[in-house]
Amino acid sequence: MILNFAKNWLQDPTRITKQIAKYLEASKAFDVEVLSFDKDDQFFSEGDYNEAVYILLEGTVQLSKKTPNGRNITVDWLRPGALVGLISFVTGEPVLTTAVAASPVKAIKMKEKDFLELQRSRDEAALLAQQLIIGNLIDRYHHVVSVHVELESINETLERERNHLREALKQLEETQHRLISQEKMATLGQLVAGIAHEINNPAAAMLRASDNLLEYLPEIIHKADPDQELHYNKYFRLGLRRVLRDSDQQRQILKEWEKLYPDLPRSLLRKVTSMSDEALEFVKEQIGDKPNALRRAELESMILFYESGYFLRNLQSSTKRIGEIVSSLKSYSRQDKGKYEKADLRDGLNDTLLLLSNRLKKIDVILNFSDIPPIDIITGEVNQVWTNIIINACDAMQDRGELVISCGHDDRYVWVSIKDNGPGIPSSVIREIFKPNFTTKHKNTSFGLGLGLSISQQIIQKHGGKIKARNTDEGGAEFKVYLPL
Amino acid sequence: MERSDIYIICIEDEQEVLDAVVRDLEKLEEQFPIETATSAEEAREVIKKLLADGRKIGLIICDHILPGDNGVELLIELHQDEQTHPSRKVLLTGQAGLDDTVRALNQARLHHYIPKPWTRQELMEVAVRLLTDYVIEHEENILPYMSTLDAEKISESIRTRRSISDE
Repeated sequence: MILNFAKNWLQDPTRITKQIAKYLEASKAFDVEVLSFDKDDQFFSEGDYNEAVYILLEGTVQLSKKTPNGRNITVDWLRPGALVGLISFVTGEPVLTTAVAASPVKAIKMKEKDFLELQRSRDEAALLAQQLIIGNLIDRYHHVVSVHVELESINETLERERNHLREALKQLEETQHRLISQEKMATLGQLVAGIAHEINNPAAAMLRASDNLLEYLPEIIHKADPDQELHYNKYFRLGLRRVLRDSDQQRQILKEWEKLYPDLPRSLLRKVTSMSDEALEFVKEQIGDKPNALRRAELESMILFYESGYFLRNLQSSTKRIGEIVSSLKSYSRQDKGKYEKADLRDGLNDTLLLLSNRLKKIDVILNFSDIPPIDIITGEVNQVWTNIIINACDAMQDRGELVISCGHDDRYVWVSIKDNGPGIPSSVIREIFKPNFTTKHKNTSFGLGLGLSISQQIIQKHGGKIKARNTDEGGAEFKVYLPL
Repeated sequence: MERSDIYIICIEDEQEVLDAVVRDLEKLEEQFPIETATSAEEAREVIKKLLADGRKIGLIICDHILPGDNGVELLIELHQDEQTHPSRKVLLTGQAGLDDTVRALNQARLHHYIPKPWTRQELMEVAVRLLTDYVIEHEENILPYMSTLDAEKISESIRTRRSISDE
């Protein structure tokens, strides 16, 4: 039973200290004294050299240590039976902790000489001293182990909380980006609506003016050529209905006519030859093989009327185009303030395509629109989704390729599919693309926050729909949006 | 007016716009025949044919965005070609992408940059100035161009040339 002799101390620390106290008192060989400490009396202070060890008989001693930040923390509480100052006493190094009486304390103070003497004594006292020392050390060791365990669990909690915080911070950042982006879109929307309105008025005036000209000019022409001998009206109408020829063919005809009429200036012939084949035969008849000065002057005035017709046609088609762009801008950027309205998805798609037409110049856009019923949507937001998907497709195809847009419906959803023939979405990222801040565009982007698809998904989910991405068998990417009926 | 064998090439994919450019330059056509193309591909062929026929390309006016190609790329390509290297090059653009413009200036030695919409006067001034430079640099007899192009510059050049050959 000699091996677990320290058990005695662990089971009842005071039994041994009492025995030692009694022994010391009985033996006259030791110069020891029993000291009384009041609460808050200090045994020693951190960093001191310690020349005595105290056997704690009554009361509690608090061991504390200064942290590097200068804060005092409690390291341990010593109870009766404990040795105070054991380690510094044995090692001779400065004490690690400050010891202060936490209550009135009674303790035996032993100097080095006596402590060694106690251990060396031949009787039971040496065993008691060993039990006391080892018991104390074991106790401290237990304490260290439990502190480690506690520390570890605190660390775990801390780590968990830190992860929570990190996650929360990330979400905050994402939300902030999203808000900024939405704010940007809203501002842009207002700006666009304002511009559309501003352009609308002059565009309407232009259209009206060209409509009026279309009405008046034939009358004026009729007055200039009432018997239609000069065919002014005919040429004016030809210009108005001019159909553009393939430019290669146009070049051939111009070449032929330059040979036919080497005396006529090329700029005049260019205008003449832009007429239809039928009209050209008529012109030939009129001016003959070798037009004299008079015929040539006639031809020049005919061309004036022909060109006037053509200009008016251009004016009409251009103003019509401005009108279309403006109305697309207006409906695209609808300031609907989050209001749901019945709308045909095809209208929004057409508006978006018209506004992106510059971007789509080198892309074949194929529309496979089936009849779909109108559904309740926030038009401006859904248009943002089409824009995001189409712009992504343009980027993926590097602005060259084929874009197939189809739509249809079943009894629950209206769907729109936007398919490109670009390189597709790498399988390694296909799961990531709807996550915020995912982007493959690292440079040359004006709006590359990586929020496009994330916002698109949010918009569609808000509408009670879903958005899916996949790679087609042909290798391109397909985005399919489902919106509920 | 004697027609020269120096051509002006206009490249623009929208016929109405192309017509407008040609019409604005028609006063020059008595001397400098205009050829048009509505795509980069067509432009290459037209230029190739003209060069094969022994004609010269004095001025190229090119739209920024063309179907199937970028106007800047085409101008760079033409600038790198020995035969069209001396031709004056103008970029016509509806959208001023700074990057592209810088690239055009640096790599195609773009001679002028005209934002849409332009005015006839502006386009004519640019064309006259660039063609004047072209004929002074590349033509021996520049007297016939006095009436259409910048007469002052041409007579100045004739004077200097004479004095150089006199020495």
